[in-house]
Amino acid sequence: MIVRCLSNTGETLPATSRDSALGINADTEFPVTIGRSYEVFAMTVLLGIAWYYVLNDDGHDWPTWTPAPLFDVVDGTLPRSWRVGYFRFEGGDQYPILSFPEWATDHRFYERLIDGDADAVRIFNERRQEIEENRST
Amino acid sequence: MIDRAGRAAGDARTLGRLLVLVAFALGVLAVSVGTSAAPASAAAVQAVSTYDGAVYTYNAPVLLSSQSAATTDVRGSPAGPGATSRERSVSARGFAVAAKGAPAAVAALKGPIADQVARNLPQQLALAAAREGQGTILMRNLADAPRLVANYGEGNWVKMQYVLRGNDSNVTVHYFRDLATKMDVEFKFK
Repeated sequence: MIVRCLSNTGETLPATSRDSALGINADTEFPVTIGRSYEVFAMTVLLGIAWYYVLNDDGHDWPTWTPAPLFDVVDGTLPRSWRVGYFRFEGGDQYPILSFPEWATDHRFYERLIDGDADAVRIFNERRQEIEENRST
Repeated sequence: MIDRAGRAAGDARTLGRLLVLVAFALGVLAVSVGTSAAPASAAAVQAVSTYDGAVYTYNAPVLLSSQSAATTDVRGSPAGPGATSRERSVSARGFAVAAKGAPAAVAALKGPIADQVARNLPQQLALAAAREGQGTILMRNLADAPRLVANYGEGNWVKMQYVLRGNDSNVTVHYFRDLATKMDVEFKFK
């Protein structure tokens, strides 16, 4: 799945999807470049909108969620291995994750990936390579 | 002779009476001293006792209030004022988790993780901005949440990320935020 950036500020987001406590407001600048395309590695829902996990311009080793309204879908094809996972937590918080199985079935996968867990990093790199190879064929 | 003998006998009686009087007077004196000494002694004991009582009465509330405060810290909300004495609050909270009969696994949770120290100007700037609350949410429903709750109190803990973007490189800071109190803790560079 590939998306192209249309905007990179919170100003273009629906008012309902802004939350200053989360650092998402009209002044927020997201590290994506208008006109540039990004591979999507997972998708979830927060504040009433969809969010894409992309490798943004900050150059981190992990994908970061970015509001879907900032993008247009260029290629909506999903990798064959992807699954939908749905997580429920104490306090009522709940959300879906659409991604490769290791992420879609384990809500702690992303946290381990950010923390540099060797297995999580290896899995992500393998899945990333798999996605990019399938796209090139 | 009789007169001399009678006078002697009279003197003897007088002396006897005097002795009796002296003895009585001594007795009275002794009783008087005894009774006066007793209250004095009691008063002294009372004074000492009162003094000791005052001391212990003074100390007791201090200890109790101290313990009570620690317990309050544990049970209370992680309000901002506690942030100034984070170390004490942290240890108190950690103790309370164990004291509540929590499973050993919970009691064995890691303690608070100290903020990392900036080693250059970009890191100082990034850390300062993050401490001001800048940054965006990176994830929620953390696996680390039980540890954060044990150390900082109940709350809706999320991981935040602040990135200071430079021409050549970026400085990324991660930290935890309680959305309920806006308390930010454990700043580290990535």
